[in-house]
Amino acid sequence: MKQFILGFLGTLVLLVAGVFGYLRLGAAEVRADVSAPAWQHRLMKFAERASVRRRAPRERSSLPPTDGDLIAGGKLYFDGCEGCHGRPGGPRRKRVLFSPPPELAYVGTQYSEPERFWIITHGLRRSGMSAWGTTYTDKQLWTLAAFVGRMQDLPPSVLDAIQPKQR
Amino acid sequence: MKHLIAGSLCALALLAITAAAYLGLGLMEVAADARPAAWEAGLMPAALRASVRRRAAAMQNFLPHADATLVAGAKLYMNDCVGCHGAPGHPSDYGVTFFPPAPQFAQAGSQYSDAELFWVAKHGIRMSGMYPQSPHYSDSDLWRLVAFIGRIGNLPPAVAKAIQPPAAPAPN
Repeated sequence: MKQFILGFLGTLVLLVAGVFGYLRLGAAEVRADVSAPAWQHRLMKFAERASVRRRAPRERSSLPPTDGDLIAGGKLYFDGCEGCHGRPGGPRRKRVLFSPPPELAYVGTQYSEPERFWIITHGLRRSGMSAWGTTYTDKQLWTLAAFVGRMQDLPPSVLDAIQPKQR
Repeated sequence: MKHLIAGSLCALALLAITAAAYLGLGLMEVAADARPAAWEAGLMPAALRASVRRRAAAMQNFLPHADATLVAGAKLYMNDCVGCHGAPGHPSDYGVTFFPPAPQFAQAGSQYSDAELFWVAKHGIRMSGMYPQSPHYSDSDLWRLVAFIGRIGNLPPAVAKAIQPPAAPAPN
């Protein structure tokens, strides 16, 4: 029994010391232009999804999904999101950020509307995703969440209305 | 001996299950506007510093220590970096909306050497909003930027004046 406890505690101490040493000795890769191993990327995304699902509100938007709201959301999107997440109808870009922000018009989103609302409000840690909750009103955040959900499937009239005017 | 190994395997299994539960049940904090735990706030920046120090080659900024270098760097900085990293006297509101936040160089300075700043700017930093600048800037431009950032809290008056936006014409 003594041996068992020794093995148990010894392994725990060794692992904690190993992780601490790995980090403090600078062994962790920090370059954004070096691809992370696929398992790491998948594991982080999996944990992120699980965390967002746990934290996001259950209630849906009180907004009726009208074209007017989509247009309002689209205008906000062009103002604040398009730089990183790409524009509907624009070219799909290859991004070097790690993690790369999703090109929403091409890949869509796997998050539900309340989850999107939560992400836009609070941002995502360990990424470039900002918390916009203090910049926008709740209503604006919901229109953005609605717009992002429809980005791959926008009514032509909405798409036309939100395009920044050509000069 | 058999018991020692059994104890060790039990510890490994327990850790694996704990990690899987922590990640899979969504217990990991992902909100950028939540305060980081004390261990995270202490350990992660230290790990980043250590990694940068280990990897950045010991290089000297080969550009002349001249006001012209600083002014050239300032122009690049005021175009592309200021949005997140702030300007002298004007910290960026946007740079603190994500996590980890962008350091405000004019107020906080930088703990990195010129060579380390060059390396960070060139390669970017993983799991942050700092993206690699190498596709956008030549090495010489990056060194100009680095020279400016290194002096941003303590600029020669001539340089400080050169980067001021032109004053609005006085109303008549």
